[in-house]
Amino acid sequence: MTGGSMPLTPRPDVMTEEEHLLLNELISERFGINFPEHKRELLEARLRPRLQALRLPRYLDYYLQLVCDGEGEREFLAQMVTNNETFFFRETHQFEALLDAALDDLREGAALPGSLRLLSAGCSSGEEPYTLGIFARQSFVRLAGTHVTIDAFDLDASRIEMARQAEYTQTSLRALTPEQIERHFTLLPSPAPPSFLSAVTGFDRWALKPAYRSGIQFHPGNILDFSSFGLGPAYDAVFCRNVLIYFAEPALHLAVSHFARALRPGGLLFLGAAESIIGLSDQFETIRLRDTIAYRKVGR
Amino acid sequence: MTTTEIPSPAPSWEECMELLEKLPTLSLAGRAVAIERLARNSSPGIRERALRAGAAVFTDEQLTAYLRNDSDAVLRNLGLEVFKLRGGRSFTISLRLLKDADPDVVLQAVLILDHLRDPRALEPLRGVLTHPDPNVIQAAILAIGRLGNARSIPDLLPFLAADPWLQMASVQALGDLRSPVAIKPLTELLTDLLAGSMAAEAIARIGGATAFRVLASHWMLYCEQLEAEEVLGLLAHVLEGLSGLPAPFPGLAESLTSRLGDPSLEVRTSAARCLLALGPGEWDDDALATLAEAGGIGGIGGTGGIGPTLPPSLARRRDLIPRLLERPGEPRVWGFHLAARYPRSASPEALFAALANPASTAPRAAGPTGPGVDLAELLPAAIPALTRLRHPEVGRQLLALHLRLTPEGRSALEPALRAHGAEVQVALAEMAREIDPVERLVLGARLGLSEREVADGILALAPDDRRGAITRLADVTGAMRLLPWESWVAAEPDRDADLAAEVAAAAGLRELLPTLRARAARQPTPALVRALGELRDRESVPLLLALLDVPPGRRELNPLVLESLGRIGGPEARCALAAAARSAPAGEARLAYRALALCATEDDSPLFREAATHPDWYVRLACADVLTRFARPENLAPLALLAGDPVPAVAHRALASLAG
Repeated sequence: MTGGSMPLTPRPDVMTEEEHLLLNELISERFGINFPEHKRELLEARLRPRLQALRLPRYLDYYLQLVCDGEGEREFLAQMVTNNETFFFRETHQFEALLDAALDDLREGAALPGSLRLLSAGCSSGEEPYTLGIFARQSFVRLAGTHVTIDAFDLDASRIEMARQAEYTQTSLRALTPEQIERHFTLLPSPAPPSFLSAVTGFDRWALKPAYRSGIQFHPGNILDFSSFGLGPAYDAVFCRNVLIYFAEPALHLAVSHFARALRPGGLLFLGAAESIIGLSDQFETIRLRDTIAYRKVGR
Repeated sequence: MTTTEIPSPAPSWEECMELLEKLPTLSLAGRAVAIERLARNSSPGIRERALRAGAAVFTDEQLTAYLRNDSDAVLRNLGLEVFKLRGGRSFTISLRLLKDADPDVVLQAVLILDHLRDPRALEPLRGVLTHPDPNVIQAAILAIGRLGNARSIPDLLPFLAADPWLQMASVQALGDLRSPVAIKPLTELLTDLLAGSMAAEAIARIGGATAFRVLASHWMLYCEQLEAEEVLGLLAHVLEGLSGLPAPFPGLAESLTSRLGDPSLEVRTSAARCLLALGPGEWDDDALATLAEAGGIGGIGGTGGIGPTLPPSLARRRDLIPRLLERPGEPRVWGFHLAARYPRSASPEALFAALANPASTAPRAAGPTGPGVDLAELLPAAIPALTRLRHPEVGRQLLALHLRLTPEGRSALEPALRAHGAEVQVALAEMAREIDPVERLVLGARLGLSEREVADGILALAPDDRRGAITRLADVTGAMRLLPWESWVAAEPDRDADLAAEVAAAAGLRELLPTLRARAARQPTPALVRALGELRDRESVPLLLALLDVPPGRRELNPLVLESLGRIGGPEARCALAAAARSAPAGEARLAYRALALCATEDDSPLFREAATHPDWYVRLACADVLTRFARPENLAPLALLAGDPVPAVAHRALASLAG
């Protein structure tokens, strides 16, 4: 017998300009993420499955549902509007710069002497903080005597759960060589016999070896909510890569002010290659670290 | 030339945010001053909002004065960008500015006309080709090219022998014009050190058999001196755009085959594309392997651009379908795309085998031919191929595939199931015991069961299965009417009332209203409130008004209640909505305005006139909606303000009415 459902019920109407403006306003306010007019269809496509699941005919109905039941639906909304494109060993030159060119300065001014506190904001399913952890372990000679801790948070609680699980498919490992995969991961036994589906979806899963999971703490959090940055000492470096590119102007401003609060003076902020905060804050100065750009919080 | 006072320094981000917030409450003159300030901020987001607001606020005279302001680049650029944003409304003024004495203003006018792409601009732009300022001529040449009228080719040819800037502009414009007539003069420039590369690109953009022969011959003569990546890329582009296989070109295939071993992937890929587009040959396997290595390149076909698409170089290669289907990874997807294009050239057995044999599609078995593909990538290609297939086994194969798919995949497969409805029904009957009863019923309903048969099928299901079937068959209205909703709601209200409400709203079952009303009075839920509104139930207005009147902390249904009141309308609902618009908390008030806009009569106009400068854009949008509906002289002033609204949706709605 075969179960499951086929969503043959009519698809929701197309998203009108008014509905797009309303939903984008709400998403921007809550999560900072912006879906401008040219991304209306993208937003429509992301929300459509949820409207179908709730059997709502119009996007306005979904907006009203969000207004009525903000907290309950918020988790789903966060899952649908976040972009979880990430993989291990992405743009590693920033990690190398942190653990090489910037290391002495960072250690000298560390918030907790003998420690290095790092944060991955918008970490999705954990590929970035785990890669950072792998690089830190590989730099053990340079880091001798320094205790490294990495905190990581993401808006999407389901992604945080995946990060804690630390099990990945080929997609997440696409930038790794077979040797790197073998060194850092263990192939998990297949839970099901091969089938058409498992074959075409790449069913094989790899677990990150336990040694590379230690020292990394995950929690759900929102860049726009400062409580997500925790109550501990200030961070020595914050990574927030390829997240701000989706933010609307006010949210961008708020996010940068949160990074400034979360970092100790002299602490470093690393953004994605296409992102910049120049002109947005006078609390950061741009510096060049080998072949990468970073933003250093002013003051010592 | 005019000058103005030295511009004040750029406003801070905070000042800009404050200005943007205040903008809708300012007079039109006040808005213009604010927009001038906003335009000085370096943030692209703020600048874009300033420009959009400016498009509705500035007069032509103000904008023209900005264009003349050579002491303030920000304002000059503001004028140019706002004229562009206004689209067709800037056409006439731009024509007038072409005759301006200031060459910088003429240049701006040409740039605006270039942006507008209005064919009526051709003659005026041709007139500018004799302008004394070469910058103006260069911009006019490019603008003429983008208008795409081949009649202007003779005007551009003289510039091929002019100074390098005008020469390059005319080469580009001739490429834009896409007329084979331009190939001959461009060919003469191919060996020019400065313009040769641009001329080759222009010829490639023109395309066609002549362009192919010219570029192929150029390649054969100078392949050792030319940038292989660039020229082969252009040659591939031309070959892929031909309507049929090209006539043989002596030596070309051999020259290209030798490039399949080039160390550069780009060169190898371009050579592979050329070879595959040339037609069948002994190079096919190597060329396919190279193409797979590069991941396709510039694909066509597929649905909505999701998943690997068919590389254009394969578009006419129906002969490759069997070979592609045998290969794992992306080549298999290309095989399905080709099978959809040429259904008679595809062996059904090969298609079924490609879908059914998991081992040969395993990502790790992909080897050197390319990475694995996932289901989302395979299905968009496989479904059109299966839809067009004619074979006795197709029903059984489709049903088997359907049963293996996720809900999203099943939804995507629906067109193929419908296309082979009769065959799938036969397979459904044969495989009845292997299929879940809900799935069987839903599929049967989609494939032609009568409404009575669908209703009987639902009634025969266990209660838990019934719900799943109903949610998927709610659009079979006739069947929904035949179900005993009243008794179900009476027996299991917690389980069935919301479902009854959803079905009633979707299928328009007004006969269920007494049941829904009674349930909503005892236990209101979002589904019940929504259904009463959707069914426009006047009798439920008192009930909804009572729901609105609850203490803070229990008002979570209020947004839905307001919306339903708006849908129902009538004096009582309008009165309650107007009161909520005036006095409810901000979040509810904006929804009350919107709901009232749905059912407003002319008597409600004063409320909306007062709110035309409301700080909330959503309220102003409701105002624009209502005030455009009732054409009264006293609505004109607030509509003019709304037409200059910084939120384009509001401005457009008001402008449409004023223009009408």
